[in-house]
Amino acid sequence: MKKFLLSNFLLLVLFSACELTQSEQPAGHFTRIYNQSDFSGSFYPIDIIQAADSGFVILGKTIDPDFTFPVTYLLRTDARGNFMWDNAFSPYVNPLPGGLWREGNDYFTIAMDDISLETYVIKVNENNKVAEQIATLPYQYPLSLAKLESGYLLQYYNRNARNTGMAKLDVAFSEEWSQEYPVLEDAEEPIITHLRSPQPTLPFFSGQITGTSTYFINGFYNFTLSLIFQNTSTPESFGVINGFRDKGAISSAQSLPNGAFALSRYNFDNNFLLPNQTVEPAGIVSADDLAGFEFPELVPGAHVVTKLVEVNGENYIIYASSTKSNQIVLLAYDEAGLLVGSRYIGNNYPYEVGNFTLTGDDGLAITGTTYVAGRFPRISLFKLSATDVRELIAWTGE
Amino acid sequence: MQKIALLFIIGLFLTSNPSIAQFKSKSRNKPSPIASSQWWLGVGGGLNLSNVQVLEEYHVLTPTSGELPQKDYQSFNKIGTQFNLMLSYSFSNISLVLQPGLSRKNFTYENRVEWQSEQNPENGIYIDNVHLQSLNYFDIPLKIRYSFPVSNAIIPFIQGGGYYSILVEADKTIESTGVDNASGSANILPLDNQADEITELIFPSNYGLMAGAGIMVPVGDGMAILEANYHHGFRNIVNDELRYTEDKFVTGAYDVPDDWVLSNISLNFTFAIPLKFVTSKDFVPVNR
Repeated sequence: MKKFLLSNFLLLVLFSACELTQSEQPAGHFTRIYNQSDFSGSFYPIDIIQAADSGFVILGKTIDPDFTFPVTYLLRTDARGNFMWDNAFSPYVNPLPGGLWREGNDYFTIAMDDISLETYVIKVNENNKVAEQIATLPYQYPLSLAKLESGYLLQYYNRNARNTGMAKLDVAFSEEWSQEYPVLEDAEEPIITHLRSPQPTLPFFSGQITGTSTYFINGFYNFTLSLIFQNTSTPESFGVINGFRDKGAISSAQSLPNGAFALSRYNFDNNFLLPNQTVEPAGIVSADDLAGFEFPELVPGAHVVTKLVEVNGENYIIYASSTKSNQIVLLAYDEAGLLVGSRYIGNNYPYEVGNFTLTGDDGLAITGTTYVAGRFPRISLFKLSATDVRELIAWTGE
Repeated sequence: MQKIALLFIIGLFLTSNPSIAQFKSKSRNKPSPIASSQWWLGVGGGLNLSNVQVLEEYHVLTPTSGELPQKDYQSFNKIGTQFNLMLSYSFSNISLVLQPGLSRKNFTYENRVEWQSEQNPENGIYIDNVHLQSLNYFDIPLKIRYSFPVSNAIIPFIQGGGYYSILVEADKTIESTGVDNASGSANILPLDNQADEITELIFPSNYGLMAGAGIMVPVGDGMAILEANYHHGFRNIVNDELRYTEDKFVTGAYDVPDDWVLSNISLNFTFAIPLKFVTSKDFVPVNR
């Protein structure tokens, strides 16, 4: 009996001594959908960056019936995707994709005034979470922005002259130079339609060819949606990839270190990816003459985000877009233009890509619009781990 | 699997016949040293009820205002089953029992997501989800059993020990119902149930301690054993790194598993036969 009591005492001690194994929440891989129980709320992400604390700042648009255009909206999360704060910044509307950046604890974006249509640079501080207007730019209808190594490249539409404009701004948002390109017709109606829609209907974007003084914008020129190249060195040169009205055009472009481009284009309902396309910046060609891999799975006129990412010292091109089966698709190509991997995100409910960014832990953060319960537009955040990214690019090294 | 278990049970009943399995001596005057111990082999099965302790909740739907949606866990509400073998070594009133077997453990939780119009709160939509998790483990429990005979017919016992479980398979079913009150009248939403394997989401092994009690009833040369046990796990059974990887549930039903510690109540019936094959006429079997 003594032995029995002893053994039971030992069991009791063992029970009380064992500690539960509690794991830490992984920040490497998670999915979040930022939900608001308000029936009428609508939120659409267009850009994402990582904050100083490895959390995320998502730039989006929200619909406010008091304003003509979608209102600028910021959502802040911690590194694990937990909601920290959000705010809508009226009357600043139509924030630009590619136009979100961070300096310390300040977040910057470029947006438009709802009535005057002027362009503002606004700053939102992490602590007070309110928008401070730090610059007013002399352009109406801002359409796209690229943050350059030194300064910014802004695309706008001059409604009076019916021109598309390209303006190079310095770091203090003063104009270094600008150039306008005639549309030769009134493009205000499709531009207003695009700007009023919370989802992009036309692929406006801006950029710079890596290591050169050649800049490019995708906008209206000569009756068509065209990719315009402008070399600002001496002598100046100009080139264009013409679309077909707004029914066929380049839909995204990423300059590659080898001088080529990773492009995507659409022609009516068809979408094509061109991961390693030689482009003559001083030439004039038609987008339809460029070949590319046809992707019938993408929605017609798909919004495509194309970025160059460096993983383990090698460059890869990642395309993100939306499929007809309501999923977000990631397609990874190597520098030679060979598909190395793909990943599909989403099930049951619709998911549409907004933007993505490489994260500090070599993972990937993708934001997109989802329609919770099949009807309410909300912001989703998919954080892929470094392992996920390696699987995506089929990396086989150590 | 069930057919094999049934055949095994029949086989054990047949082999419990003294003419086949065990010689029972009529002479009990001089217990020899060998009479003070016995090996038993048995087969059994039964029912179980499971519960999970939530260490930390995880959510896909993250509210931008208000509280996180709560998951309402139900305790010990879904019956599971187990089948096992038993090998025990008895000496004096103590038995060392090894009882490996397969178990299926079920547990459920519920949650509701809803949206309302700020202008008219009666305009709203809600979706109720019932989440059923079924975990199949290969369990290896090792128990110490102490019996205290009250009569020759009934031998009560208490027992305690530890167990190590290896995950075989896990699956999950979500039953969803919803009502749309915003379209003019109460409209039942046509939501489909979703089911899929979640083996990768569950950690491959589990371990813990157990305690229980029961009775043994001699049947011929064999022994019928009825026992009730409580098992308490000592680790988070969810695979942390793969928590968000089941896209069907994550993006399709906004669900990820929380950190769970599994506990379990089981009722098990075993029929065992003695293994010592003794030809000595002095043999007196230890029947506990």
